[in-house]
Parts: sequence; C-alpha cells; structure tokens
Amino acid sequence: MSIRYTKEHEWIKLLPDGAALVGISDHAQEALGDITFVEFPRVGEEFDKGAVFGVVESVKAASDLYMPVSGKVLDTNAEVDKDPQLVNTDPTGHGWLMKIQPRDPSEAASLMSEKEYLAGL
Amino acid sequence: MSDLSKNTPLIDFHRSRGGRIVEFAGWNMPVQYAGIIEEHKAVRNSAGLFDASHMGEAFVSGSDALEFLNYALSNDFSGLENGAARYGVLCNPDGGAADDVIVYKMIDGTYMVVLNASNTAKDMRLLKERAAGLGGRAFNVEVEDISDSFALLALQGPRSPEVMKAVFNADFSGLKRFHFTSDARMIISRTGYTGSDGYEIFCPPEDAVALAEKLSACEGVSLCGLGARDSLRVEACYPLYGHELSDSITPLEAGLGWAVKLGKDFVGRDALARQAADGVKRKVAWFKTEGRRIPRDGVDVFSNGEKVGKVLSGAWSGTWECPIGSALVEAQKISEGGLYVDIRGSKINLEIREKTK
Repeated sequence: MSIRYTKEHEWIKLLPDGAALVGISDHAQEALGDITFVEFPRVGEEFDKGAVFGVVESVKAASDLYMPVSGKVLDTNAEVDKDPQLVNTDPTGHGWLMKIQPRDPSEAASLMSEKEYLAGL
Repeated sequence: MSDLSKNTPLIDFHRSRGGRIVEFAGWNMPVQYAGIIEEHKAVRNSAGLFDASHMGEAFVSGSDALEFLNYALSNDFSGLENGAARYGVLCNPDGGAADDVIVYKMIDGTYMVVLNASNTAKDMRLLKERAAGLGGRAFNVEVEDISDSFALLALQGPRSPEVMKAVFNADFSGLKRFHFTSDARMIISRTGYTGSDGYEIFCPPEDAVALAEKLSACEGVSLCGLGARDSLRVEACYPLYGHELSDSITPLEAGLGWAVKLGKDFVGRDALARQAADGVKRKVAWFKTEGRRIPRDGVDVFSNGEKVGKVLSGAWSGTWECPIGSALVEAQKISEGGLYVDIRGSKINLEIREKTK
C-alpha cells in the first residue's frame, strides 16, 4: 500500500507483513526546522488512533506526535535516535520514526492519499 | 503572516532566495534560509549575512546631547570618541529595562542610538520625554526618529574582513571593535550581535538590495535569518530584550553591571543603587546541557526539588552541538550548583557557563 497521511502531518506506510512504518511529513519537517531530538515510545506500548506517542523537538519548538492509526509499537528507529536530522533529510524514507502493528489494517485506508494531503496544505 | 507587518527593503530579496518569512516585532523577517544550524556554523566558521533593517535608529543632536545621553541611559558616554560606539541600557525609573541600545558618536553633540525593533516606538517616546524634561531635567537636544532612513545589513564571521574588502574595494580590517567609519551615504561599523567578528552596514534603503546581492555573492557568505541570530547571541551570552533583560529584569540582574554607572545621575539610578547595595537576589545565568533536548523559554528551574528560577532563552549550539540557554535564578543557587530542569519527566542538569564577556 502507498503512503497515507493525517491532517496532523504524520504518515503511515503498510508493509507486506502487515506491520507499518510511521513518520512525519516533508511539510512537517520543513516547518519544524532542524530536528534535534525525538522522544520515542517504548517498544510494546499500545496507543489508540490520535493519541500522543512521542515528541519531536527542533531548534524552534517541541511538537507532539499523534498515532495515525491504533496499534502497538514494534520498533523505533535507532538511526534517527543517533542522528535526528535524518528526519529533515529523508522524512518519508530513512527518517521513519517507529514500526507498529496496526490493530485494524483497514484504518489506514481512511487516511489521506499523498495527493489529498498535499492539496490540503 | 500579518498584512499589517512592515517590510524591510530586502523582503523580495529574502523571498526570492528561499528565506522563510515570519512575523517578528511587527516586521516580516526571514527566520531561516538553509537551516538554523548550518547558518550558525557559517557565521562561526566563515561568514553570514543578516538583514537587521528592522532595528530602529534615533538621531540625537544638540549642545546637551552628551549630558542627555548620560541622563537617559545607564552607561557613561563621556569618554566616547568620535567614530566609536558604546552599549547602554534605557532604564525605567524603577531600574527595570525599557531597552538596551548602542550609542554611536558621530561628532561632538551628534549621536545615533540604535534601538531594538520591538521597542522603537516606546524608546522614541521615552527619549523625547526625557529630553523635554519630564524626568526632572530638561536638555537642549533634539531627538529624531531616523529609522526609515537606514537599512541595516550585518556581515558576521571570521571571513567578514576579506568579504568587505572584495565588495567595497577598501580595507576595513583595521577598524577596531566598536568603532565605525562613515561617509555621506553609509556607516560601516565593527559591531554585531553574534559573538563573531564582523561589520554592520547602515545604508540608504534604496542601496540595500544591491549591497545584499554583492555581499551574498562573495565566496563563503551564507544568508542567515533570525533563528541563527538568536542561537549565536545565546552562545555568546548576549542578552535579548524581552528575555534576559526586560521591564522586570534589571541590568544588574542581567549581569550588565559593567554598563551601569552608578556614580552619575540617570533615570533608574536610585533604584539600581539600592539593588546593588542590598545585593542582587536573582541573576541571569547562561547554561549548556547534555543530550539533545532544549529547555525552552518559561520552563521552571529546580534545585533539590525546589523551584528556584525560570528559563529565559533556549537554543541549539551549532558550535558545541548541545542545547544552550539562559535562566533567571536565585543568585545563591547559581553558585551552589545542582540546577536542573524537568522536560516531560526527564531531569536535565544545567551546566552554568562562565560569561564570555
């Protein structure tokens, strides 16, 4: 499945094994400026859709991160933990934030396509 | 951004070069170009060009100009020679700060006072009131708002002297810090607010774009915005009005005692003399922290579980790659050490820095 976006500027990509990657949009990283720190959730934590799962801090501000769908945290991106600016340089690729197990895979389908998201900016 | 905000002569220049424009102190200004950290490093290692045209300028002239400035401001400008500049604080009668300023002495009886953009209207009113004798003394002096007569470009960083030479075909490397040279159109001053070597160029607004184009076209010059200006000044321990210095933070609390001359009569002098005699109870401390989380403006500062102060500024040091900032803290607690902030449950220790100045 292709990438889906929320109006809070998170994205989600479903993987072939049913898990999903979550990150923030290019627009979000651009608006935040240089990112200095990401506060990740713990692996195993479960969140409902819309819940705050972490915080991203930039030189300018700290911003809450919201779950695009309900699910359980499987992994967080150690590369981003080491070098948070990866989120600036490659927000929808190597700058992913966490891997989750969505509770209901169909939930992601109701989110915006990239085209719809970009049109709403 | 607000349509009511003012534009500097460089607004189209900023936009066309990718500056991200935000509203600051009633002005549309670039907060960043390539990125705050990259711009910060450019200034420390090479050179950066800032638009500071939003700053205000007052022209002070008359036979009592020196006496007036000595009465209206905290510092003593008596020994200031022609072509030299000096920092001072515009205090309220209660000792709090209305603004901090830099006074440029053109010739005897003629000065230019550079003001913060956010305070220009208030400062002009205070200076005119004090000139007219509302503070109890009247002066033969004229205070004129000449803010619209100048654009202001700041070229900062170790490469600045060679860039100036290339653009102006003249050598300004011999100009001493806090000294300036001027002709009929321009003032070139060895000043800045970054903690790096550099120049500030006051020029007619109609010259600003061409000059910015020439300066930024030089090798090693990066365009910089307000974000880097802020992180650079925090790294250099320079106060910013509204953060480390304000109506409720006196220059003595801000660590600016060197610019407060209690031996002369000036507005705020009595209150500051009392504060000095009683001992300054809280002080601005400059800190750095480990890790990557920036303590932000307004966050509480603790010592042994007790609230002892508040963060005033937080930024990212592009030089040391760590968070930096300032806080207003009970003076005694600063020397005791052990200060920390709490960011969403994480305790972050503040390492107090020796002020560079």
